[in-house]
Amino acid sequence: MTTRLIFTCALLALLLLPAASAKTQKERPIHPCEGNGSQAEATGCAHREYLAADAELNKVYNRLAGVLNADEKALLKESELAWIKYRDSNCTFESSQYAGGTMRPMIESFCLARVTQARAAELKEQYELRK
Amino acid sequence: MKTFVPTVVILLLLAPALRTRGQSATDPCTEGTSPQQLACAERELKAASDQLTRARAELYEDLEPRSRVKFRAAERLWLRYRKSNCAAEASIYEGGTIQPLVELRCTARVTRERAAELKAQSQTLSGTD
Repeated sequence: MTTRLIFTCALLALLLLPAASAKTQKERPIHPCEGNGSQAEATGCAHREYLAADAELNKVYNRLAGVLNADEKALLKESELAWIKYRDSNCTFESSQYAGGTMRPMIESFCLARVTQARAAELKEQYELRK
Repeated sequence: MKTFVPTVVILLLLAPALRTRGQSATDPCTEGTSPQQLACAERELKAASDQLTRARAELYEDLEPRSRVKFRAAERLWLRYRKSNCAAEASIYEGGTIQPLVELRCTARVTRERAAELKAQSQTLSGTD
């Protein structure tokens, strides 16, 4: 009788296990960088995407700084430093959910690219308003 | 008098173009008097803050302890970025009556964007939502 109870409990636990772990399963949308090839290739692709976003942001930042007076430029610089800290900390957080996994560096690069693209769009809009 | 009338007409025609300076196309609070716009921006910020509070709580619940610590750090730095960024955005109106309005609108917009960012994170974690 006791053996049967233990067996039933164990069976139930086994059946419930996938449902319990489903909660923490990552179901992110698949990025073009992950289309084919190895994890290393996908990570390299993600990193290149971030580098491209960073280059674009630098361009937009300098264009905006060029139409500002000294006081405004100081405020822009201050906000850019605050933004960098937020971005890095936010992407450390986002990728921490993949800590120890081979996907973590790629996830971090995706995050850096996305947040950097958003910042470039934000500064571009400011440039359009002020030029 | 002869030059006065055309000047007025030109100014009236230019008014809408001048008004758009400092306002983004997606901004909802661009109609009405300044006090009305200010009240509207305050409502927008309140709604965005509520959205963010909900998104934050929902995400926090799904996080593992090590990610919770990093999330709290990111939230603190995000607050500093928002303040600093909106001060910079409003700086072209330094001393003008419109400056607080521009800063408020910026704060509401950045808060909405952060709420969307956290919501996307929640969806990544739980799949369907």
